[in-house]
Amino acid sequence: MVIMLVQNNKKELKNLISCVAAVFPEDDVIGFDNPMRAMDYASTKQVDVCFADVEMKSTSGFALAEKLRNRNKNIRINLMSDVVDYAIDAWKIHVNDYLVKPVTQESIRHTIEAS
Amino acid sequence: MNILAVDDERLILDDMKVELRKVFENDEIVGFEGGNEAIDYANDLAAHDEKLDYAFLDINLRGMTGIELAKKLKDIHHETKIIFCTAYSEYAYDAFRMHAVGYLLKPVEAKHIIETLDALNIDWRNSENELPKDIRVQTFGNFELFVDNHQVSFQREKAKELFAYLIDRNGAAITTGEIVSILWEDRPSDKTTLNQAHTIISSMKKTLKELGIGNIIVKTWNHIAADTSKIKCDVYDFYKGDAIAINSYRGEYMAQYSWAEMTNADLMEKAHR
Repeated sequence: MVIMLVQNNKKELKNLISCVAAVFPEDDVIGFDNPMRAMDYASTKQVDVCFADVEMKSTSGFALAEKLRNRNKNIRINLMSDVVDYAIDAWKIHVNDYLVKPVTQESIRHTIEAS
Repeated sequence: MNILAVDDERLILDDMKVELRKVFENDEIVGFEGGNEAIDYANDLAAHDEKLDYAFLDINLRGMTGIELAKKLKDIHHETKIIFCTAYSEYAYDAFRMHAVGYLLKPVEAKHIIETLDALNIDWRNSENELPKDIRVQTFGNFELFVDNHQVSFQREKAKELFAYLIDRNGAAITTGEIVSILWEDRPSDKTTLNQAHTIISSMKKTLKELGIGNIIVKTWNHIAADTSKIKCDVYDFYKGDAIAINSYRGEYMAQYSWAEMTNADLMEKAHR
């Protein structure tokens, strides 16, 4: 399974990578601080799971989610944000989960239980 | 399938049932205005060994919130998929936290329900069609799977072995890494073997799906398990103390697989008691 993490803030990204790698020790975890690079990667390789920040510089997590879906309609998208406000929009695009930061190993485990 | 709708406004509840009927043409749809009646209904289903497949819940109910009701329903029926139907967006995050599968803003229309269910990536339209098969697993002697009394042949030997291992694990979920260590004892868990394991999983699922019993495999993220509630199996009966099963044990359990020796040792000890 390939798990993609997309998050502008490098420090948060580093933390997120270590959390996800701890929960999924057998899977490939790949992080991007630039959503465009993430898209480039997904255009050539299969991505099974994505955790993406809602608010990013060049694009939103929502726009990224839509593009990733076009590549792989079965991808599990999880959005992350500092606030709960976008949760209703997250439901509209049928994401797998919506996490409020800081994301921890525990919150990722909760996400897994969701499906 | 059993489908529950709860809304404390009678007219809205009636509309919801009409929309649900468009989606679930042949299923049981039951509606209540109160949360407590819904819980009674859920308990009643459980008492008759029936599942509650979907619950469509309003959030602002009298007496309890839809979120509280959802938690209580989940305690009774762990597998129930919850879809909230509300005029408000403020519970959207709570709904994620309690593992709901959908959040619909009123008025709820059939097309929105279908959109939500389609997004679940499950074959929700056909889940009922798969059920009536007679699935029997023989573990004493050699391992074999029978569907409606026909012996199943797997395309790959390792796919059969994987299915046997899932039966041996009795419904417990296993990771791809564990599959590698079982199927290729002498090889490390690396990219090559993990990929091969995925090929074997796909092959096993394909065989089962073609037999119309794909739903006996439960897959969550990187774990898979067998839904043992759908399977008749001699070793399960043995552990339940069933006399026929105990008598049919002749000291051999899944004899073609070396990893089965551990369970066999346990069976031998219990049989001689």
